[in-house]
Amino acid sequence: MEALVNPTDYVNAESPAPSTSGPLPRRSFLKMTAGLIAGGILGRSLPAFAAKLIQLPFANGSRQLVRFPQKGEMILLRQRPPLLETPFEVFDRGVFTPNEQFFVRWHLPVIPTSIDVNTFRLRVDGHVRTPIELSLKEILRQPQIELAAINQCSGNSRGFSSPRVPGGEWGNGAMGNALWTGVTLKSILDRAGVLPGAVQVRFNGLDTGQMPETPLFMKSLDLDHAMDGEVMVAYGMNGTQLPMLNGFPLRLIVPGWYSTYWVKMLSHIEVLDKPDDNYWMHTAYLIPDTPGGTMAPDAKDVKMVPINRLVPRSFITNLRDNATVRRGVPIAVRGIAFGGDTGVKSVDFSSDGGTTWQNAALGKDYGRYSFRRWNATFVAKQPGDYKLMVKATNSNDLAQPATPTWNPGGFMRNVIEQVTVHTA
Amino acid sequence: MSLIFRRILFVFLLGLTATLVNGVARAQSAAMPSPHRTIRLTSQKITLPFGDKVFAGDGKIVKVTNQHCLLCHSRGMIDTQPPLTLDTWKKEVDKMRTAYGCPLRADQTAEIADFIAHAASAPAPNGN
Repeated sequence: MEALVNPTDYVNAESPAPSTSGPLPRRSFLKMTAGLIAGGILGRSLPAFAAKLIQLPFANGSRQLVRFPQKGEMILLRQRPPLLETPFEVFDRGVFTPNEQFFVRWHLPVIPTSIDVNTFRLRVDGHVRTPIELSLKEILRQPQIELAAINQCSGNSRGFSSPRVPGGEWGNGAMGNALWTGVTLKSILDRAGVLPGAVQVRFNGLDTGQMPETPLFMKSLDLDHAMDGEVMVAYGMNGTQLPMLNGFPLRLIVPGWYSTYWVKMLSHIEVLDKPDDNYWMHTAYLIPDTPGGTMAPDAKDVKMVPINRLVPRSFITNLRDNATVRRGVPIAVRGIAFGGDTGVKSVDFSSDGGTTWQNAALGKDYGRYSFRRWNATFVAKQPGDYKLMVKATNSNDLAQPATPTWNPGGFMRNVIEQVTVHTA
Repeated sequence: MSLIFRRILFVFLLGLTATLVNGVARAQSAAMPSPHRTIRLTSQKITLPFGDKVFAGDGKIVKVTNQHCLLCHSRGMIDTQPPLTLDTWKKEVDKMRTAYGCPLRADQTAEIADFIAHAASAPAPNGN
């Protein structure tokens, strides 16, 4: 089946702008095109088309809403390689994020634009008894598992960092929750036979850099983590195959860990007999080795470690900042919460800026790595502003902090969220 | 007991142990064996937009910026950055050169950073 794209489905920013806009210098375009054609990317620009704009609530937060292949309306952060954010209202619709509005984040610009399910192979080698290549058919024949898990970008909410830091300037929509179907990573490693002395397992996908010097996007997990029976190789997302931009045909699922480990278009698994020192483990995606990954912006010589487990978060999804509410009647407030690397123990709601808190009711439990719905009510008795806050505590008694954490990567933000509403 | 019977018993016990061990492992895991869900995998082909908006102008630095910065990413990466100090921009441009293999000369990074710091400070609709 081919999912071809209607170019008018796109919106982009060619439009009126700026004196700073002009045609791409011919020579560099030819040079780039040659490389990109070699990499399989043929699309060039798409016609301007009544751009819908939204404003994320931070400086330079103007964004377009666009449609990419196999995706619905998304907030555009970057076209190449694509960075697409989930519009926040999607999170009010349910605890599972639809595939067509699940956020998209690629690091390297040469992304395969076609995948043949008959010729695709997953290679497993390195420190193993028998290097193997598995077809999709063989993987589909293995015992199947399913798991609901949140995939959250390490830098979700980076745009709220203060002081601001460079990077992908996301609002809160670089996260999603899906029901993943696939096989355990352990079952695949067992087929190849991990040899004694193995310490880590490294994952690589089909995307590559434009320059040969660009480090391949590879991530590694410790062997015991890789073999825990939860880390999985998924071919299903919410009951169907993955969209190309979310990693079709196979994606690594690392429940409770940040998305950077969830390698897309997974094509190579390599068992290592020494710790991985590749750029993406050793230099990029590092956090301060402190609780919550926080540090003072001017701190020097802070010990850094690879980012790892998710921390708890919660959001109000049905009331936006500056919304108007009626006085004297119960106002229903709802949202989503997650515990991170473990389940949600409790969610607390405040309608007075955190002076008093009430226990929110929790919705159906889809497993400890899933979004969980919460509900609360409050009455705005007096006229004026009401500062609504929500706080999740996970099963390890880790609660969201009242003050924002900070680090130079803009990673792991999980401060208690607040929404100010006022009476009509 | 005949040898063959003992062998059958051994295989049976081995299977039973594996089942029990599996059962325990599953009880501790959030992963559930699913009643087999049929996921149909079909070959896919898409076309991705290139994002070819460039910085306008005839100056040498404009050209160098377009030819190097936009080689690996579209301009949206630059336009969506927050206000950053010149020093931060220098570090970013230098990271592109040293970590990602951008074919720039070391002595070009300061000039590019300076250009971007100004060009990116007043961007129109973001996200190309």
